[in-house]
Amino acid sequence: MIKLINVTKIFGNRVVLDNISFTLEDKLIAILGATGSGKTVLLKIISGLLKPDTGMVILSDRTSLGCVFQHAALFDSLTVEENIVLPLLETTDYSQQTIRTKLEQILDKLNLSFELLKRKCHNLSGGERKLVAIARAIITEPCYMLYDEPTSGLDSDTTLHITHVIKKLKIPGVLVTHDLKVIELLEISERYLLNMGQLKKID
Amino acid sequence: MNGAKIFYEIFNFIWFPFSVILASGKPKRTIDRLFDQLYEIGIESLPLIFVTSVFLGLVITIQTYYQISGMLPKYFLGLTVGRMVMIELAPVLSGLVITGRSVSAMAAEIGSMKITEQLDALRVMKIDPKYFLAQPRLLAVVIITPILNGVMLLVTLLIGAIYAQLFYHTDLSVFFYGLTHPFAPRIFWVSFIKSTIFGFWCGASGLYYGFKVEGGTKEVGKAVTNAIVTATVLILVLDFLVALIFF
Repeated sequence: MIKLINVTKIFGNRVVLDNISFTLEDKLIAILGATGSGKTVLLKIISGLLKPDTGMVILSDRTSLGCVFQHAALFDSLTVEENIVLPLLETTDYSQQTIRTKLEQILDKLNLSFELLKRKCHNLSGGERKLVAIARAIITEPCYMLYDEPTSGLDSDTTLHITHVIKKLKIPGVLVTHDLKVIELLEISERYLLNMGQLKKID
Repeated sequence: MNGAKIFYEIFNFIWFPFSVILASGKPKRTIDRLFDQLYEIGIESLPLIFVTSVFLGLVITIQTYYQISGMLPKYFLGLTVGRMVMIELAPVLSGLVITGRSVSAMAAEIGSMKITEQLDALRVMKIDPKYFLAQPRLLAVVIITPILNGVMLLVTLLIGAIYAQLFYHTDLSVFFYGLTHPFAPRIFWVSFIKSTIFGFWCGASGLYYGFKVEGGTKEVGKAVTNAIVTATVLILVLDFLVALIFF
């Protein structure tokens, strides 16, 4: 469970998040908002990258998070394979064989080809970058996923493909976007609008 | 910037490299990345170190001969060139080469990674960016700077000796006699202590400003400038402090 209680974040004179509270249990929720409305700030607060000025974020025991950043945040000097297995190599004691098996499972799940693995990330297309970012985020089997504009800058076919992948994963979490079409493609029922620092549920 | 802010900034800067050393992760993975950095910072710096050393050797021999010719015996050429290069020129210039080539690259690379959220991605994956990115770079620059200092020392003195033989009819044995009589081991090891200290703080400077970047590409440019300026000033200040302590 992820619970936000009265979270407020202020940058300079601008109140980006104003007393926001919500609880996330076991579904994927969507937060819609215009550019600069504070969606990314909210995700960064949930993931612990930013601290709220007031209020708190409570994550239940052994809650792990996976995060897909707006611009994928891949390490361009590494290959696709090195990017995907990085969290396992650095934070677990899994054997090479276990890591390989997990990698193969992820590739299968996301329908990614093996030949992509040896490519450097700076040679990938926008859609491929997002898929690799998703692969890297889910390889540790997180309890929740945080998606920051997962389809921004992608053409309609790739958007369709990415939303199909996210839907297939069925991992609960938070998806923020400025694009209502994405929420409809994902068939997310619980939707919020972030505007002027306020989070309001929309029907 | 008021006094408290300046003090806070200086404290942060001084503490930063120690926090990098203390960052924890898998040691084996750090060693793998360390070798990559040793290659990138060390091997790829060698051509520039060679060029700098060759011209340093030529200039310092010409200038020294001009000062002592007709007044002092020829072996003083080896003695003066050797001491100048060992005590001052090799450590300072190898530090400046590392600053221009690698410290700037570190600030730019880390800064760019920061603005493209790669550091955030590491944190979400529970990987400390200081352990993953900074530790191997800092270790590499601390290891490689004294080695480059040694290379510069060798090449400069060799070029100086050859030039002296060819143009000033100073036999190699006379040049090397001056170099080693009287031989003071302290001069030799202070040269390496100096370059190790320079490497540590120059590396710290590049990493610190890289990690501090907030904003966009303009800030990355500023970070590179700040890293180079700080590292250059630090080399000069630390050079003075080491001279004060050891001589």
